[in-house]
Formats: sequence, C-alpha cells, structure tokens
Amino acid sequence: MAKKILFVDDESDVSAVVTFRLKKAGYEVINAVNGQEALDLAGKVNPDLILLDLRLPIISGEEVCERVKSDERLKNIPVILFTASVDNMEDKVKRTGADDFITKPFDPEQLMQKIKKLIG
Amino acid sequence: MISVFWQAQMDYVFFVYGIAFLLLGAVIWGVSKPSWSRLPWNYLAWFGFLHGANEWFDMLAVSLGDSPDFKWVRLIIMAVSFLPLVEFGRAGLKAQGISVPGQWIYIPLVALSGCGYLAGMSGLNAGCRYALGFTGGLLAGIVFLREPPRAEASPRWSLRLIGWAFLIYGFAAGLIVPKAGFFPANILNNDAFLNITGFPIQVARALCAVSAALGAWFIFGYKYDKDKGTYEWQSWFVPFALAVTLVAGFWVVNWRGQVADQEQRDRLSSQVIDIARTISSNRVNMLSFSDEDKHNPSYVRLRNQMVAYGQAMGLRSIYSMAVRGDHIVFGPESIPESSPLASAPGTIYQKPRPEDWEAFKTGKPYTVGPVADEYGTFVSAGAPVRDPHTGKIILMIGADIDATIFQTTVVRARIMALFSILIVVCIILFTLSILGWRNQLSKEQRNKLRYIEVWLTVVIGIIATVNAVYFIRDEEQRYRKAVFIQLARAQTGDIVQAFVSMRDYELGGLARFFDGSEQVEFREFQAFAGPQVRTSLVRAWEWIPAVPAEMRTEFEEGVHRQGLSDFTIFEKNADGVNIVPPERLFYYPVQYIEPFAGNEKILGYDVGSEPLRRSALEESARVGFATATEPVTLTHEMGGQKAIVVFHPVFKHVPLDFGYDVDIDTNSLQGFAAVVVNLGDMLKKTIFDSGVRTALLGPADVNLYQLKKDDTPLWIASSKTDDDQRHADKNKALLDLADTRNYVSPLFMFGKTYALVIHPKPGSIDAPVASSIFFGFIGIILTGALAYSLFSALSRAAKVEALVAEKTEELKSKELQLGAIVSNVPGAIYRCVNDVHWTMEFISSEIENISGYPVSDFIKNKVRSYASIIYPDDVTLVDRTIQDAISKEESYIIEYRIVHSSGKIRWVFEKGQPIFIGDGKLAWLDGVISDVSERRKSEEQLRHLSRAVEQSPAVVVITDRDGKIEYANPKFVQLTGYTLREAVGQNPRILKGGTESAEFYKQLWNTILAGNEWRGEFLNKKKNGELYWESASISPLKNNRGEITHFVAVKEDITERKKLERIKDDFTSTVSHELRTPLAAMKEGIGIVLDGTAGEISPEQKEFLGLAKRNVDRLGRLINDVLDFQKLDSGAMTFKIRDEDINSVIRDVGQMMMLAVAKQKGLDLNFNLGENLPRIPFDRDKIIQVLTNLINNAIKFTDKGSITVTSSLGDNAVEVSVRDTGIGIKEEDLPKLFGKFTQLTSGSDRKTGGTGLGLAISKQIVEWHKGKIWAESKFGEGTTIRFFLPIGERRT
Repeated sequence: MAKKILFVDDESDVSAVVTFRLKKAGYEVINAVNGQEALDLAGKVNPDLILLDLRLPIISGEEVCERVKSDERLKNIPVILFTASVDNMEDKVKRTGADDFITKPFDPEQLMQKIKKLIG
Repeated sequence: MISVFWQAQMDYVFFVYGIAFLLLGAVIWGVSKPSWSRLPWNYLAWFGFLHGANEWFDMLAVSLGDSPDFKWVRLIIMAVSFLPLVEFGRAGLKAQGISVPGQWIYIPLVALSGCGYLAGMSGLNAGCRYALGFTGGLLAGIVFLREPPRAEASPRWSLRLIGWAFLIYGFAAGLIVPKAGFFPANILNNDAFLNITGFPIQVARALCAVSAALGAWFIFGYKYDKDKGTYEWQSWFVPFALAVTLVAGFWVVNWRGQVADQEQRDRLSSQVIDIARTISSNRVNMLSFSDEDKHNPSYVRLRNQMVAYGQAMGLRSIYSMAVRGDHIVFGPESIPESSPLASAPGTIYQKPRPEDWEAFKTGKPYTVGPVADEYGTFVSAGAPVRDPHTGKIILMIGADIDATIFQTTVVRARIMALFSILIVVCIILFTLSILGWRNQLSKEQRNKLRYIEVWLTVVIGIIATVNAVYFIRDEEQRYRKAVFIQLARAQTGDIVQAFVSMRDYELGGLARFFDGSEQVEFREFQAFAGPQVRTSLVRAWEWIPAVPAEMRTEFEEGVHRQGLSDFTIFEKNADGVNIVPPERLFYYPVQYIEPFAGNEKILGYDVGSEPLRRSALEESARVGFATATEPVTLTHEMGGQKAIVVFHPVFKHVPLDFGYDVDIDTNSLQGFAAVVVNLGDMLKKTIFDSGVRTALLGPADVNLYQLKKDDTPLWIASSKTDDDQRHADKNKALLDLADTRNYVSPLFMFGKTYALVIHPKPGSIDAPVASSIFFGFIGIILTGALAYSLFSALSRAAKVEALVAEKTEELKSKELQLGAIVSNVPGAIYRCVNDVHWTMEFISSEIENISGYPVSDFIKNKVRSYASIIYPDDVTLVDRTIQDAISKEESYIIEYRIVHSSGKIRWVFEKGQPIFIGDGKLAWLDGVISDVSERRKSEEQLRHLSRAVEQSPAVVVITDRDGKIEYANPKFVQLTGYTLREAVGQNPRILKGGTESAEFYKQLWNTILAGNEWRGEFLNKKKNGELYWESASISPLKNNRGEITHFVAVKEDITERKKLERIKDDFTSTVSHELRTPLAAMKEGIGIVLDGTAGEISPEQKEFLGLAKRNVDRLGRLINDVLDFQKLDSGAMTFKIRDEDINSVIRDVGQMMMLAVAKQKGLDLNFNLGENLPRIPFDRDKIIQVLTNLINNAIKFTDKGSITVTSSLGDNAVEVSVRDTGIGIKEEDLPKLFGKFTQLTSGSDRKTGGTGLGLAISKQIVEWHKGKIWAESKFGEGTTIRFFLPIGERRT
C-alpha cells in the first residue's frame, strides 16, 4: 500500500509539479491548500507524512505544525517544513516540533531522500 | 793631599751619600708605582739599597778603620749594586720601545770589570766603575730624560732632575775612579779630581745621590691635591725637614767632634803643664843638652821620672826641648832609647813645627796638630819650664798623641752624633709613614687614630728633651770638670809648692847652715830649726853626721859634752830592740833632732843601719841632691803612718851648688841634713791651708802615689785619714790614675816620682745638673703642654667636625624636608619685591614647570623679570589687584595668563599677601603661583560637554548608584513628558513599559554593576501612557578609586526605526518567498520534463530545457546570494561557532568540488595542508561557503593547469590560500575584486553563472570572523586568494 503524504501548499503550480513527482515516486498524495484544510485532512486521512508549506492562508504552516505535534493523535506523523523562506530554518524546526525542512526552490533528489528517510 | 776640612768631613759625606741612596730605594720600593710608567722601578730600588749600604760601609771604614777584608766586601757590594742600575737602564729603554741588547750583555760587562783585576784591587774597582757604573748611570739618566711625564701631576722637572742626577752620577762614579795602573785610571782618577777641584769626588757623587733621591721623591712621594692644584705640605716638608736635619746634623757632628778633639787636647795640655810645673829649674840648669847628659844625675833623674810618670799615665812620649843656638834640641824624654822615636839628648829637631818656635817666644802652653814631622803625625802639647831667677824659658815639656788614635777618638764621637742624626731621620720618616699610613685607613679607623699626632708629639718631645738634658748636662759637667781641674791644679800646685819650698828653702837652708859651719852645737841647731818646726809641714828636722868608725867614741863623748849625756849610737834588731851597732866604716847617727821633745829616743839611731834609709843616704851622697827614702814606718810613730825621710848631703868645704861634676868623696861627706815628712799629715795640712776643700767642686781628697818604672804605683798617703786601707789595693791605685775623672798631677821630687791624684767630691761633677733638670722639666712641661694643646685642638676639631657633620646632616634633612614641602606644593612659592618687574627674591623650582624658564632666570631679574612673562592683556589686572590688596593690607587671589617659554599661553592662579614689617612698611610679597591651565581646559571642556548634552538629540540621564535620577537633559523632558523637577530623584523605572521581563532588568543591572556597558532596547512608556522604543546605552561612572558612583544612560527614541525595520524585514521575507515560490514551480516543472519523469523527450527539447533549468538554478543562486548578502550586511545572519579543524573542512569541500573540477575542465585540484594546525573557532557552513566560492571562482577562470588549496599556520592565525593557474587579474583591478556584483571580465564567463556576490560574501564572512581576505595575482599567471582566521578569537 502506497504511503500517504499530506502535501500542503497554497501555490497550485508548485503543488502540481511536486504532487506529480511524489506520485511518480509511488506515494499517495493528498493536497491541502490552507492550514485549516490541512489540519482537517490530517485528522481525516491520517497521512504517513505531512509536507507543509509555511506560508499558508487562514492558519500559518508553523501553527499547523505546532498543532499537529501537540495533537495526541497526530503527533507521530512526521512533518517536513517546505518553504521559500530563508529564515533560520533549524530554529523553526525546533520551535514547531517538525522533523525536517526543505527550502524552495528545492532539489528533487534531496526531497525524495528526506521523505524516504522518514517513511521509507 | 786631601784638605783637613774634607778629611774630617768624609764620614758625613758618606753618611749623606748613603742616606740619599737608601731613601731613593725606600721611596721607590715603598710606594705604588705610577700607572703611567712601565719602567722597571724595583731595579732602581735595589741599586739604591745596595749602593746606599755600600756608602755607609765606606763611612764606617773612614770612621772606624779599614781592613783588606772590609775593602773586598765593599768592592763586591759596589760591583753588585751597579748591576740593577744597568738592568734598570737596559729594561727601561726596552720599555720605552728602544731595541737594546739582551741580558747576555752582562757577560762582556762583567768580564770587562774583571779585567781590571790585572791592575790589582783598585784596578778591579776602576774596572767595575768603567764597565758597570758608567754604563748604568748613563743608561738610567737617559731613561729618565726620555720618560715623558704622562701622569698629570708628575712634574716634568722631577724626571729631569733625577735624569741629570744619574747622568752626572754616571760620570762621577763611573769615570772618576781610584788610581790604577792603566789608562785612563792612571790619569783621570780620584786624586786628580781632588787636586784639580779641591774637593773629593765623593762629594759630587753624594750631591748626585741627593738630587736623585729628591727627584724620586717628587715622582713618587708627593701628595698632589687635585682640587687645589698644589702639593700637600708633606711634599715639601719631608725634603725640607731632612735638609734641616742633615744641615743641623752636620753642625752637631762637627760640634761633637770638636768637643772630643778639645777634650783630648786639654787633657794632653793639662798633663804637660803639670809636668812642666814640677820640674826643678835647678836641675834643668844642670843639663848640657849634649850626649854627656846621659851621665848627668839631673838628666837621669828627670828621665826616670818622665818614664815612670809616662808609664803610669799611659803617655808614651813625654819629651823636652830647649833652644840652643838656631836649633831646638831635645832634652830628657820618656821614650825608650831603643825606640825609633827616641832622640839622644842634644839631638836637633829637624822639622820643628812653627808652634814650637812660637811657644819658646811666648812661653804659653800650646797644642798643635795633627802635624807630621820626622817622627810621624801627632797631636802634641807643650808647656814651658822657666828659670825663676831669669824668667827665661829653659825647657819646653812636650807630649804627643798619635794622630790616628787622636782621630779615632774624634771620629767615634762623630759617629755617635751621626747615629743620633740617623735616629732623627728615622723619626721623621717614621712620623711621616705613620701619618701617611693613617691617611690610607678608612674614616673610622682614622678616627680611632685621631690622636696619633699627640703621641708622636710626646715621643718627639721626650726624645728632644732627653737630648737637650743630655747635652746641657754634658756641657755643665764639662764646665764643672774644668772648674774642678782648675781648683785641683791650684790645690796640687800648693802641694808641689810646699814640697819645693821644703826642698829648696827649708832642707836646703839647713844643709847650708851645716855647710857653712865648722862645728854646730846642739843649741845652735835648736835655734836654727826650732822656729821652722812650728811653721813648717816637716815633722822633724835632723842632723845626721857621717861618723867614721874610729871616731865613734870621740864623737859620742863630744855629744855628751853638749848636754846629751845619754847619747849613744845604736841600731834596732829584728825585734825592734835597741842594740849597739856592729863595727862599720861609717855610722850615721841622728845627732840632733828638733823638735826634741818626744824624739829623744831617736838620738843616736844609726840611720845607715836600716836598708831603705841607707839606700837613700847613699844615693843622696852620690848625686849630691836631696833624696827621699822609700816610704818608711817611723820607728817611734803610732798608727803605722808612712813617712819619708829626705836626706840632703853636706860636704866639707864644698859649696852645695857647686855643680854636677863633683867627685863625691865620702871622705869629704860631712853628714846629712834630713827632714822627716809624714806625707798624710802634710797633705791634710796643705789642703786645709788652701781653703778650697769645702768648695762645691773642690777635691774630695788628695792621694799621693809613688810611681816607679816598670812597677805598679804605690799608694803612700791620703788627705783623708780613713782612706789608709787604699795602699792594700794595687789595682785600685792603677784605676785611680787611669780614671779620667780624677785629676792627676805629677810631682817629681827628691829623686822620686810621685803622682797626686785628686778625686772630685762624690756627687759634685756627676751631681744632678740643676739646669738640665730644669730644662728636662721645662721640656716635659712644654711637651705636655704642646701635646695637650694639640690634643685639645684635635678633639675640638673633632668635636667641631662632628658638630659640623651633625649640623650639616640636620640642615640637609631640614632642607630636604623644606625642599620636599616646597617642591610638593602644587605651585611656585615666591617672595618678590613690589616693583614693576615683580623682582623675585626667591621662587621655588615649580616655576620651571609653569613657565618653562629656570628659577635662576627670575632671581633678581637675572635673565628676565616675572612681569615680562605675564600675558600683556593681563598685566594691568595683576598690578591693579595686587596694589589694591596692598592698600587694604589684604591677601589677593588672581587668575591670569602667562606666556610659557614654548610660546603657549598658560593660565595661572596666584594667591599671595603683602608682608609688612616694623613700622608697617611693605617688605615684600609672599605667595604661590600655580598652573591652572588644565583646570581651565577642563572647565572649558565641561562647558562644551554640558552644552552638547543639553542640546543632544539623544536622551541623557544620569542617576546615582541607586538609580535615582540626578540629571536629565531637555530631550528627556521633551520625549517623556516628565519635567526635570518631576524626574530628578525618581527611578527611571517610572518609564517602564511593562513588556520587559524581570530577567531582562536583572541582566541589565548585573552588567552595569559589574562595571560594564549595557546596550539594549526598551519598550518604554511616556508620562501620557504612550509606548515608545528606546535604544539605550547604560554605563557606570567610576570615581578615581574605581568605585561606581553614577550611571549614565544615553537613549534614543527608535520607535520610528523599529517600524521601518519591521517593514523591511517583512519586505525581504515576502520578496524572498514570492520570488522563490514561482522559481520552485518552474524548476520542478522543467526538472520533471527533463529527467524523463513525464515521458520521453527529444534531444533538442532536452537541450533547451537544460538551458532553461540552468538559468532557473542561476536565478535561485542569485536570490540566495542577495539574501545572504543582505543578511550579512544588516547583521541578521546567524553564525554557529565551534572549534573546528580547518583541514577537515578543506577536505570536505575538496571532495565535493573534485567531481565538478574534473568533470568540467580536467583541472588538477591539489591540497597542501599544514600539519598540526590548531582547532580554531569558526562557523563550518559559512567557511564551506567561502571555500566553495573561492574554488568555484578558481575553476571559473582557469582553463588548464591546477588549483591548489593550501593551509598553514600564520601569525596567531590559520591561513588558507586557493591558487590557480588561470588568467590572473590586472593589478589595478585587485582592489575591486571583493566589491558587490563585480565581474571583472565580461562575455565568455557569463556562462559560468556567477552571481558576482561570491567574493563580497566571502569577504564579509571572513571579516565577521575577524580574519582578512585578499588576492595576489599577476595578470596571465594565475591568482591566489588568501584568507586567514585568527586563533582564539571568538565572536559572540
């Protein structure tokens, strides 16, 4: 059974190419376009990994991550922060409880490696 | 011939000669050699010692007699002494840099000396002098004359003096030699010199020696006072004192010699006079002064008496002279006929001395000599014998002393004096060396020996006193002796006269009485002799007729008839019993005796029956002169006193004084007039009569000795009755006669030789001499007084010295204290006159700091007046202020400007007051001037600062240590809305916005209380409640002890800036996000197509998609770099610093890059990494970024060759360089290299996709690490970029 990745990004173009690549790599991809939807879907579909853009409408990626990590049911889901920001990402990872991060524009191989590392 | 004067002075010449050379030796030996001279001085010292000793031996030879052995000793010493002199000259010239022969030269020199021995001992002497003395003297002289006086104090003339002295000495001692049998000694010698100049060569040598010693003294012995530039007193004192001593010594030695000379002459003269006195002119008149005199009883008697007396008195030659015609002829003498000196009577004196002739004219006793005549060299004395009737000089008695013996006595006296001079010289030198020695001691030891002068004074005083006492006593005793001799002569003269009158008048008269009468009756005899008995010294008068045997009875009967009925001729047997004498040819009975009473028993005693008396009777009858018996004990005398009986023959019809040539016919002998003399009684009476017995220096007693040829003297009588035991001791008699203290007078009488010996009264001549005691006393008192005054002067000097030292110390410490006070006053203390110049009487040294001019400039306006340095604009102010104060009699304070010597203006503060004395007259102004320029400057600065603070756009708040506001500037008021009054005293926490945590404030306080500056931002609240952002810098203010007293907060309202910052951050973040997001979509989209994920594509499609992707990547890098640069530039970039190994970083980057390098261009990437590099703190990722940039750059600009990365240890840093073999950079482009967006070349390399920010970012990263980055390049030959990271620097 294919692993489920919840990919949260409000940029549809980015979402499209990344989803395409993830699917090609054999993952089941569930897309969310804002923080609220992401949280809702996370509770619903119980993904194996959340790939989370930080800059999201309604609820920011950071908050989503914090909520996921503070939710007893969801906190075991690995979260990879996926951002175009160059702010101190290590700090952000630590603060939000995320498991890893990757910056945009991204190296597709690097992305795949990080995902593989977390969910195989 | 040597003159008498020099003959007598030779000992002194040798003495001075010797002393000079010994001193020369001692001076050179005893002192440290001058550092400026390299001469071998000790050789000269040895010469001085040896030759000085030699001269003293010469002196002893002259004084005490010479011997061949002694001559040899002196010759050897002399020869040896010359060797060091030659060596001195030889080695001295060598030291002066002249080439001289080696020591082998002594072999020929000594051999040459030895050759002289062919001409005997004096030849050897001459040889030594030629070969060694002449050479040595000449060389030494030349050495000295060449020796430059290098020492500053060594006088040139002393070197010249000693030089010339030795030069002349070389001639005097080396060319003038004893006479010897070879040339030139046979011509040029001591004798020749003496004949030409009149003085002996030794005098010249001695003068040279003295000059040399003087020269040596002034080279060595002087004490030069460098401060005064003069010689110390010792320098002149020593030669002066020695000169005085030697001159005085010359006088003393001669005086003592003359005293000895005179004493001998006086003694000789006295003896001759006494002999002359006792010789009977009658006997002399009987002499014929021809050979016949040998049989003349008068001659024989005189000769015998002279011999006896001469023997007893140790006078070897008593002789007599008379004038016969034009000649002096000799008469009786004591000299044995066998002696070569003997002259038969009548012998003509061939070489009479003028004094002899003179004496015959004047008739005065005389002494002469030492004079040579045909018999030898003698000192002689003479005294005349006069005929009492005619007054003519009929005989001259003479006596001689051998000149040698005479001279020896004189010389011994001189030697004694010489020794005393030597002692004085020694004392002078000893004193000097003691004083010199003391000078070399440390001050403390010198203080201990402070009174050494006193002791020396005492010693010298005592020695001088003892000498004075000795000489005074000696003089006095000689005077006493002379008086004693005068008195004794008078005394013995009386005795002699008494004997003469007894002989000539009393006995002679009695004899004539009988001679002139056919028959003398007893009563007639009594009438004649009786009165004489009462006045005369004669004990008894007798008439002793010669009675032939056949007339005996007839004679006795004749006497009976004259009333002497008991008269009978008798003699005594061995038991003293009267017996009838046996039958003889003649009886000599005592027929008459006067005084009769008590002498009755003697009448009839046959005088001829007793041998002693008979021998005298016979001699008397034979020679016809009165003749005495040997001392006899009178038959009837008590106490065994000695007496003599003198017989005077009376012949029938023959005149008594007929002549000497009488044929004595016993038949014609009528009898003897005789006197009995008790000699002891006689002496006593005579002395008593002369009345001088009691005189102070009069004779204690008179002893009468009978002298016989070849026999010991026989004591006969003494004027002292208790002295009779003397006769038992024959040695004592000899001593008596030989003792020069006694006066001995000869008495030639009755055919016998007697000597009258008078002892001085015990304790008379040798009694303490009052004047010498007085002088001794005076001397000791003077010495004591001198010593005491010296002592007190020295101790006073010591006290004064100590006091002066103490006071000086006190003054110095006071001065120091005062000086310390004055110099510690922060200003120049002055005392000045109130005149237009402010003339300074005194001003302390601080003025030098204030004005830049020395103190001395101002004192008495010597160089400049104080008024002259006052800034012109302020002159009036100063004057007015001071005059005002004077008029009010107040002190004054002024601040004004002066012109420093550097030309700068200085502010000074002056406080002073006028000083009035006596009647209120202004004396001077006292005050202090201090430099307040700094204070003025501080004040000025403070004023500026406070204005700056007041007007500052920043808020400035000053609080006390507890945080209470003490000051706040207007900006504070403006910003916060609190008035100053409201703020002061409040804690700044009134401004607290309430957003900051307690932790934040605690950290703030910890920082500033620890003394550090705190920087940070607050969100504060205004009085109206409005919030505002403040950037604050709070720092503690410390006092000079380092304690925090205040805090200063400088704050800025940054509310606006904060807002702007936030906007900017948001903008950057948004732009970044908004740029990246589409880029990510583009890149991923292209990537998916390109890597075939979305299906197969054609090669052409692939090529153009690849192109698109590269540019998307480049755009992404550009955005990253821009953002990086922006963050670095604004300080927003965060660094993670850890101690890392730079080599591991390089290796990592290298591995990463290796692929790219090889893939892209086939370049070599080499590593040259330093070993043992320390771990240093840096951000690994950032440095990787730098290295990546650099290597990328290198790859970019290098088409072939290699890239080398090197690491090494630099100066407290680790240095990394990246070198390529690429195109290089033009020199003028190097500075631009690290600029933003710098692309040095255009065109082709654009394809490499550089952003143009790599080096700029690298520079910022390296500089953030406090390192440095730079490029080295030569265009066309590659580029090296180097950077270093400091070790141990950590940026927080």
